[in-house]
Amino acid sequence: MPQLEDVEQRLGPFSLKDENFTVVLHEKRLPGAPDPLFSQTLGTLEVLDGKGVVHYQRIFKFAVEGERFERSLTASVRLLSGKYFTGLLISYRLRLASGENAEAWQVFGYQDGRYKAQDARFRIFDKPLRGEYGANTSTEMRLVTPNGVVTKPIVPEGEIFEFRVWTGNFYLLLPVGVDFANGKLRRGMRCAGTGGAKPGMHEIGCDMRVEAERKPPEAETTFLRLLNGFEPDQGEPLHVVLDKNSKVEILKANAFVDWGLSGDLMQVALHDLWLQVQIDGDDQKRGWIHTNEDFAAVGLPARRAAP
Amino acid sequence: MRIWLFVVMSLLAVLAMAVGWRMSQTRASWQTNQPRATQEKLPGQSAEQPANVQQQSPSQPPAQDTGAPSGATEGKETERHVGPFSISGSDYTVVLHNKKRQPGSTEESGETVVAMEIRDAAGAIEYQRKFPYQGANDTFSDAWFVDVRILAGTNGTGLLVSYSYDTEPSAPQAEYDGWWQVFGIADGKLKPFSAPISIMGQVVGWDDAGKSNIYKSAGPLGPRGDTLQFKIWTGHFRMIYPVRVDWAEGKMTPAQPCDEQAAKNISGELPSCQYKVLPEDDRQIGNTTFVTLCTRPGEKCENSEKVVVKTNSKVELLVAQVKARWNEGVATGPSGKSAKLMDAMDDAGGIGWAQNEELWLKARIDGKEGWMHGEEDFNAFGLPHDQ
Repeated sequence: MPQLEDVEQRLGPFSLKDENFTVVLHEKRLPGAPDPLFSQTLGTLEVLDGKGVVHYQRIFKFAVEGERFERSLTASVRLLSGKYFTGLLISYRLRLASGENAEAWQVFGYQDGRYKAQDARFRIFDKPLRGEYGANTSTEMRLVTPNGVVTKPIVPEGEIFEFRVWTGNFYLLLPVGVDFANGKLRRGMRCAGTGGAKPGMHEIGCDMRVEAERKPPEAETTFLRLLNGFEPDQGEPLHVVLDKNSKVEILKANAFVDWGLSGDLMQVALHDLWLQVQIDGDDQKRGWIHTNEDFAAVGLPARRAAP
Repeated sequence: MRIWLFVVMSLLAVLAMAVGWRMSQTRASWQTNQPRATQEKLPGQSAEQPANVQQQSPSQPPAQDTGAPSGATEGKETERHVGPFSISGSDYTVVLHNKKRQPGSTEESGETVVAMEIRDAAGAIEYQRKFPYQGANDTFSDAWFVDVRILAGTNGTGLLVSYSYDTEPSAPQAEYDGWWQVFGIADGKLKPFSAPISIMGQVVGWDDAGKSNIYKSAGPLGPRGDTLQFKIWTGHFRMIYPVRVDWAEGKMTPAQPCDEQAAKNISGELPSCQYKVLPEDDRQIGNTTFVTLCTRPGEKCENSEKVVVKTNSKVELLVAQVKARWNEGVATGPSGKSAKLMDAMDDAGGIGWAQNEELWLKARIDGKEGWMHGEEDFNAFGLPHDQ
């Protein structure tokens, strides 16, 4: 094995309930590796409190293939700051030499001690609950206490945060419920409807917000096939010709989301991904697209995740 | 409608059922769609003028019409004599037995044919066909029409009979379906050259207005045959299916057979048969659009190219390809049932293709040629389509 260098990154401090936390990334670097993407990878991640006490540590395997790591794992941290909950969101991105990508997330924070602050404890919010229920943060209750009126969310106790999930062409903002009463993550939304081929009420894909950075195609003309229904995979196909002057609005995405766990990492898989777009501000040219060919036509070709 | 066409052409055995289904569909559609305006009738026909049977060619003696043109009542049958028509030196007269049409909810008037006979000069019946008469009905109004003309070919002369029906109320259609039957002299006797042939469309050049009672064939085909061209509505455009009228044998056969053997002889790769296509005047292109053109028709659309179609693009429809099948129908005639509207035609043959057969259209768009297929591209191309 060639000589590896240790690289340490300290992210933070992040303030949670008057405590400062730091995330330390211990990375391995392969000096002189020709491909910068596979010259460095995460080896160990630690979450430390202000006194340097390690509250969490995870070691990741790595291997070298010739002059490169066989895979590249990176991590980033941001503060989840909601109305009721503040936590750390650690996002992992795994890249394989084959071009495949994977993402995973961890949420750290204090599990709510209900009305006793001393009961709160810092922990990883791990496994989604079975028989998930939808978080509903818009429903609140007002409690009269000796110190005044406080507002608390009613059951389910939680708050919704949006995780940026790379689809291969753009980011969609996946609602994730942080259940700080139970220290769990759960789906931020579930969607049901009567559309499609299945009879009766059944689960359908959910609409989600999109972050998309368009890269207009080099071709003078591109061809777009829109389905003009209100829901994905519905309506009549429209053939729209785009040129460099065409105005493309990305409206929203729709997908089914499968949740999974790899150890204490939360992962999601998207399927039946659709994107609603509108061309030239024309309601008649509003519709859903689905294929990589059509994503590319609106300037969202398949590519590696942007930072 | 198109499904019905496919089915009815595919298997003769299911013809009667399919026709019955089509009728029920027609009626069912009325329940969910706007009723068709009462003035919309079969092309060239009206309830007041049920069939173009009185028009005579200058070369023919005036038609003898012994029936009362009006005043027929529900129980009273009138006769209308059409002809005589001179075929191979013999005169034939077509006698139509009419009854008053039930008015239905759209208050139709006029008559419906309940029987058609072809009689020789002595009055002997050489051929006859009966049509059911609709009982009193507050909702629907059905009527049968028969139109007869001389079929004038280079190698022979016969009769071309058109059968059609109208049921009201009904939705408008791009083309109406009807039956066509050729009669001629074979072995010294008048005979039908096939069962009535059902198509959605007409024969090419058929004059709905009936200014002439002579219909000229599309030209000779061999020393003893002539071509009769059927203009068939495919669901998006009209293609021409040529049929050979063999005057000597007294038969009709496809002029472009489309079986596997014939296909092999063309290219060795089992391509489907190709047919001429008529221009479509009512293409609707509201915006610039595109279609996918393939270099060759077939399952593998190799080297496909998306081609822009502008509102002012020069567009030509060149040729269609589909595995069209010819069904000559039942030679022994109708089953004799008369309970349902379509039973009169349960012996009919037809021209069509299986539902899973792909229809291809070769077009030229601003000079670029290629093959397209599928509803999506046909619609994007602005071709008309059935409602």
